[in-house]
Amino acid sequence: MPAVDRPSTHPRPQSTPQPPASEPVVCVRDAAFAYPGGHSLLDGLSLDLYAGAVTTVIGPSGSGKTTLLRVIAGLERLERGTVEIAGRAMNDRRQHTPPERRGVGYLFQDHALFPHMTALKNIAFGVRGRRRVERLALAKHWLDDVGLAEFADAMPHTLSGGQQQRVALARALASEPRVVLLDEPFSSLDPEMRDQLCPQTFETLRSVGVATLIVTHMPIIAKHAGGPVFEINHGQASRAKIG
Amino acid sequence: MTPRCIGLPLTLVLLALTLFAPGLHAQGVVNVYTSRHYDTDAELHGLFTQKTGIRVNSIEGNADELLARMRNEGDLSPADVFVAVDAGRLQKAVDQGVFTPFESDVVEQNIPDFMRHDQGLYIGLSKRVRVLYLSDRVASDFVTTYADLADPRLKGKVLIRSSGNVYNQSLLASFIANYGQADTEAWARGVVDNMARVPQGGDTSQIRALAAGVGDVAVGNHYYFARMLVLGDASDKAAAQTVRLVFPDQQGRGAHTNISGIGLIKTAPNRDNAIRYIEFLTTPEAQAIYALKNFEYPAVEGLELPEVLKSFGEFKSDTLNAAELGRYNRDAVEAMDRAGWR
Amino acid sequence: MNLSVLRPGPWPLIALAVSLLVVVPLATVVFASLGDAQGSWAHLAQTRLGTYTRNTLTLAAAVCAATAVIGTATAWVVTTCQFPGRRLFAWALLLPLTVPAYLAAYAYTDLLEPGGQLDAALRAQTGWSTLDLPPARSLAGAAFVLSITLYPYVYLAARASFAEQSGAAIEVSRTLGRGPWASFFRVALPMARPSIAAGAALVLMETLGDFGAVEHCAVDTFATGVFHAWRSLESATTAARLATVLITFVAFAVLLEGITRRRARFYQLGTRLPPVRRTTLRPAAAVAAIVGCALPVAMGFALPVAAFARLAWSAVESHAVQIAIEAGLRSASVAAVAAAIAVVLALAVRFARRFAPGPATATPAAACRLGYAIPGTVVGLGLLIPLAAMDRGFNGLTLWAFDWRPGLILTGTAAAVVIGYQTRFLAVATALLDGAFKRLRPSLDEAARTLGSSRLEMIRRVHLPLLRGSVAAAALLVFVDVVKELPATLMLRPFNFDTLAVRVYQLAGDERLPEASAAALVIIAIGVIPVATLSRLTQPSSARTKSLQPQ
Repeated sequence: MPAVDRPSTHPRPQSTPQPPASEPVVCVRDAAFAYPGGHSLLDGLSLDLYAGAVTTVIGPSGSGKTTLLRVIAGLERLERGTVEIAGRAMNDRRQHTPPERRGVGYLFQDHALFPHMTALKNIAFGVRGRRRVERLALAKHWLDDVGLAEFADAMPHTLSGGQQQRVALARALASEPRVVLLDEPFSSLDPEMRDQLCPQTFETLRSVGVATLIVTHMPIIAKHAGGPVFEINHGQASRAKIG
Repeated sequence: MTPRCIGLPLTLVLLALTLFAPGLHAQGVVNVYTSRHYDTDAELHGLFTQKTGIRVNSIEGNADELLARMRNEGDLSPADVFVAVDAGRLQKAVDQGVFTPFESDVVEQNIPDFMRHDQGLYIGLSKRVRVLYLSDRVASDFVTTYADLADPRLKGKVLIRSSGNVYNQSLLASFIANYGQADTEAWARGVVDNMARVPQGGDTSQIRALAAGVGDVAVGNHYYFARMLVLGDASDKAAAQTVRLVFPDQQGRGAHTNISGIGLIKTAPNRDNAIRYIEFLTTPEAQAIYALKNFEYPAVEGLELPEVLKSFGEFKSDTLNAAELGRYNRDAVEAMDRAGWR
Repeated sequence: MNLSVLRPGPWPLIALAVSLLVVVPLATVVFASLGDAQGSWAHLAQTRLGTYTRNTLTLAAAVCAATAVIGTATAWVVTTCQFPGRRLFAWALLLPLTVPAYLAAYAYTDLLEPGGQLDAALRAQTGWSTLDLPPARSLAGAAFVLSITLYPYVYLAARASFAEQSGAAIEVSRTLGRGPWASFFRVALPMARPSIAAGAALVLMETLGDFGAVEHCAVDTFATGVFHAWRSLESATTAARLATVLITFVAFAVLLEGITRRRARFYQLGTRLPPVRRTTLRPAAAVAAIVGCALPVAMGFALPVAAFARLAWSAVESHAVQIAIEAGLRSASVAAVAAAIAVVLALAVRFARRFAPGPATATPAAACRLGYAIPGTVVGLGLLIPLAAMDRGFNGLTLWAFDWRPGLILTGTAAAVVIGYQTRFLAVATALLDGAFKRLRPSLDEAARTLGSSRLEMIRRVHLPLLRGSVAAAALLVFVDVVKELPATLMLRPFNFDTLAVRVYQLAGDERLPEASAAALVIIAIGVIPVATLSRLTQPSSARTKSLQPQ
């Protein structure tokens, strides 16, 4: 599958100049969060994500992994602490940048493809600001890229789990995010499919040069990812070693 | 089985039995198909049962509905008598052949000849006059005849209910009998052109709308007005007091007078009880309830009228035979349909 | 493999027999329409057919559009926004479902009548008159009354769709750079469209079949046409032809509902969805939301109830209460019997499908589901003809054999009405049991049978205990529908058998609404019972929020 050989017109996040590699794209500091009435999920968590690097956070279910992604994406408001994306503060006491203005791509656990749109339209949904024809052309490139060119007009419910995941990835990347967040990717796939799709996905992400954060409960995924690995514990992240 | 297990099914079965048990042929009942539905009926039936021990089963409904029902039931119909509030419907029942003549000295004594069908198929029990109502914004001689209602000077001023109403059907049937089909249709078109609003509501609604200024002249049966004056709530009374009742065509054929009446069903399973019921309705005691409590003019002569009817004064009635109303009913309906009378 | 496939037994026959309750009236009407109408059809075609068509179609379009807007907007606000009173409104928005359209029509025409109380008060206070308002008795009035009482069908469907799917979809859309409004119009609304259309299709069926409201609002539609042709033009053929046209319209609604429901299945997102996160509204927006949710409840429920309550109070010395009690007892007893029979028949059809799967049982079951869509006047017409024939035939038989005639066993007793209720409301019971049966896994049967239960024992010891809740709910819904039913009751009822609905209809037609007001209030009150239950059954959001509390 031609996950690496992309056409030269391939969209890259060029609109915002890449910060130097030493500067983190996403910077989470002292983040604290609890659902109303629930126990605290994040409690002083800090984490940096770098462009071109695939960072993994592992932890058991209920440890706040998903919450971390939602906080970065702006789907939840922080109680304390800060999230910076590309050097800009995304939240403080009074103001909260809504998800649509953060430049994040989010891969949901169940892929969350829009069931009323074709695969191509799903991908085109996130492409902004150009003419319709161009939007569709770009979406088409991304579809090619994940090896699903012939499925442009397919409705999501006709696609297999692996295909749905690839469309979801293409959709997230097509919106030219600075950071891509993956929630338990591959967990709904069988092991064989997972081992096939996993390396391709990371290859694509690295080659785009976007900062990536994966949360998972499966150490094997962290191994595939090959980047820094953190463990989430009592609402805080600590560097972990994966054997 | 525990009692709890059989309790519910048992109740339901008993319920079903009481619902389904017809009891229509039991001793001492009379089955009444009636298109009257006034509260006084309960009082009337109670009095009858008290006097004779005969229980009254009744089904109330639109006369056409009841006739359709009897046709459907054929000679198995449980109906003993049919009560209609309009001569047209009584005649329709005659045409359908559901009535049979009966002999009764009591009835002959109580009900004058002109209130009895010429072959004794039905008798009238009360008289109802279709009158005109004028608002207090117009002169008392603004409209004096039915013909005036089609006069172009009344454009947008006439209030009258729909063509589905039997009183209007009989009114038009009387015109067809008196003046012919063509003139009647021309009249109907004229009335439709003059209507203040699309026909809607009952007779009371026309009077209320008249008082509220929707139009200047309304058509309705006299007793609706009497009921408003006597039994209405404060706003109805106030409205009725601004309205003047006019008996039309007093220089001509007289006001269109309809009857309510009763006939014996050919297939009546309780024939004797039915005749006793009919006889009962012609007694002054029953008439005082049947006719007077609803402010209709009774069929029996010599009864003391309520004050409100006295206040309407004497009037001249159209003497057209009720049979004619039934004969031209369908023509009347079609004439109104063609005139665009809703 | 299902054990029972091996022996279908009597089940297909049972299912077929039950489905005759729906098939026979339909077939009768279609067959009768082929007869000779003796010129009354030609007359009708010249004069009223155009009006019927125009009114029916305009009314259907207007009511569908209005209910779609009201139902969707309120469902969206209640599901995705947080404002004071939200939980109350989520429930209260269903209340207009308890007010049959004909009752709302009576209340509004009475309220707005020129020269009525409101008019008098208005004139006294402001110099305005209800004459300045659009007339209640008009096509617009009928459309208003139907919309304001039927929108909960759309509201329920849309709310379920929003609650189940929109949370995730909106979040995806927002991470892809779309704001809240764009997300609603481009994602949430298109995804909910099949559900909204299915709700609107139900509204369409109700509108096409409505008799009481349009009759009172002076709007002639096919449904009233059937009734009038049957009773005044004296031609069963003409009535049957009108009924056939009406059935064709209804068939369209049924088809639409089926198609959209099938599509709605594909429009589900994946399985593990986060609950919708409600946005807390700022004060100004919250006030707008409260007003927006309160208006439909006020117009569809509070106002008619208040109008009837005021009338009942004014008529407290008349027979109003006595009428309500007498008719109420009659309604309650016939509704209880009808509901019990409906549940038994629906269970029979469902068990038939379970024990003998295949077209021989699936087709009759599908036929049973159609009954709800058949307008009451069509049911009345379609049953009167065959039931009367059966009565005549049976009496002929007994006369020949025993020289004795039992009389009208079917049309002369409550049997006809109860059969009519089965035709119309069997579908209600079947629909509720459908869901419950789907949750009974086939392995249960297999376990029971391998443990040595006979089939009947299995039904008694395994299935019925598990189905108890649904059976009760089905009986309750049929009960309420029977209490509200007007046109079929009107055509099929026997002696001394004026139900609440029939009494109210007669008194309202006679302009004696005050006397009918207590009975009207009873109808509404009975309707409130299942709305409370129904609301609990179909309120996924609150239950889900609890079970999906933070991980």
